[in-house]
Amino acid sequence: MSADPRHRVLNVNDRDATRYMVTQMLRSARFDVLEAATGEEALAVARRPAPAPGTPAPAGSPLPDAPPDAPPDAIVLDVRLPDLNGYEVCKRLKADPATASIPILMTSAAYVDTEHRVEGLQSGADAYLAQPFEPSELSAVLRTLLRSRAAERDAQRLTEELTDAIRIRDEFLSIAAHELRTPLMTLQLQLDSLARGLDRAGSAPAAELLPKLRGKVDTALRQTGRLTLLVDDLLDVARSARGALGIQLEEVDLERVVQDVVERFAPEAARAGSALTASTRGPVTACVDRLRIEQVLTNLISNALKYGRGQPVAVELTSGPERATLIVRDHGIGISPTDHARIFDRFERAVSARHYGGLGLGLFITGRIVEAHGGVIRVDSALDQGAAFVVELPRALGRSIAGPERREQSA
Amino acid sequence: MSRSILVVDDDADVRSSLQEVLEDEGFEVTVAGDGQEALRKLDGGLAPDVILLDLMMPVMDGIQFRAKQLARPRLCSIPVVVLSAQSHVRDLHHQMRCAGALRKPVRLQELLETLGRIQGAPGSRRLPRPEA
Repeated sequence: MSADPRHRVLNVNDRDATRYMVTQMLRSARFDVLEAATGEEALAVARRPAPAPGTPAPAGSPLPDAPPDAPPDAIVLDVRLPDLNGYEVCKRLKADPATASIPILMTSAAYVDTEHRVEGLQSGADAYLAQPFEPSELSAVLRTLLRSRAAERDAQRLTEELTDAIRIRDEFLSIAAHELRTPLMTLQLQLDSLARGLDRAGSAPAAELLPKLRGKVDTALRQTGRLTLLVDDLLDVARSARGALGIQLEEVDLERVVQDVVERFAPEAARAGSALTASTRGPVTACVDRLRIEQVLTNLISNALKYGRGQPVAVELTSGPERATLIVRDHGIGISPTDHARIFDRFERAVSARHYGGLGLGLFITGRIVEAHGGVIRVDSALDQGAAFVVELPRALGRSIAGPERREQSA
Repeated sequence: MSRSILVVDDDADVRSSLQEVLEDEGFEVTVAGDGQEALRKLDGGLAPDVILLDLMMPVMDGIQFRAKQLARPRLCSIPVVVLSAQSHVRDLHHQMRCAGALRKPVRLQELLETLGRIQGAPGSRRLPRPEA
């Protein structure tokens, strides 16, 4: 308890002598004390907004103790006051959301019977002490009230975090369901149509019908491929939310990785009409997760082909002693600078053109993979001027480009 | 007399497979990749008997498109069937004043039945093409 910051207590009493005595009791109990002699003054002090962190206390403040401008953590409130009585002050404080959570310990010398104690508690007081009271009792009751208040705040914060987590999970499920339905739809249509075509053709489909039927099967198969990738992406998103992407590091030649992935994309590049080239300057070894870096390149090249407007797509690999740099460059529709940060966010859809059609998760996962390697990713792009996605990875084990705490440990 | 459909969906595979299967069933099919493209084609003289409309699309989504369609005297009476992956698509049916609302993935049979209902409905109008 000794490491806790000192709590500020507002001592409200119109009798100078009593107020002084209570202030001394509070100070001995290691509270910082603010004072008020009237109901209005008490309300004014209680309603102060919390100062911004780092604000220096003003010099020459008339109230004892520091920091004078901060609101109180608790209030010791006498019932008898010259303007508003203590019950009224209490009611107003509890009715105002800004001050409602400040615990109030009501005191009185005169009104000690049950009826008045009950009235005090009913006005919203959290405790009621009749004078004369012992310093130890004052301190103990205040500490109890502050402890309850702290527990309340923790519970509130936890509730907010849980509500947030539930909301994010629901968004995820909704996006996932939506993304999965699109390829499923095509798959189903093709198979339905295939079935109808076969029914119409009877027992011996005409030869010229076969290529068409085969085409439907191909489209259907392509959708199951898309679905599989999508399910994998969704699992990655769920994993990354738990901080468990599962990076397995080993010494890898990035030049080989680039060449392999580019080669794999040759048919798709041809379909898109884009010339896909790799430019490397010899082997580049780095300590990375080979499959995950392939995943990064696959996502970036796939985007580049999809939004590249049939223009050339270039993959470059360069390196220095400490880091390796991968760049995937296209000359397509580009991304507005206002969207540069958002496209790496989890559920960005219909914001930037690179985000519809199920690829909204791809860049997010790519970002998380790069981050897990201690690397950084950024995009240089403007609308209509293509885009260059730049990935920088540390080459040595345990290093980080982004910052010391970013690197995920290998499983 | 062939029945004509405008398919509006941002997914290339959905567009092409809808076009393919509907053409197999005897429809004349035009496609658009988003609400804006659809509006452009309609303003340019396309007069489909029904519009098959996805909701989540970039540039101009389904709801925005519907609002603009309803505001244009020449286009507002073309019936719309919403075809969307969103779970609450049936609630939108009423809000968007649609002739039908189907949730993806939809079986071809159900799609054809919905289209058939609209085609055959009394009072479903065929808009005349504007003078060239």
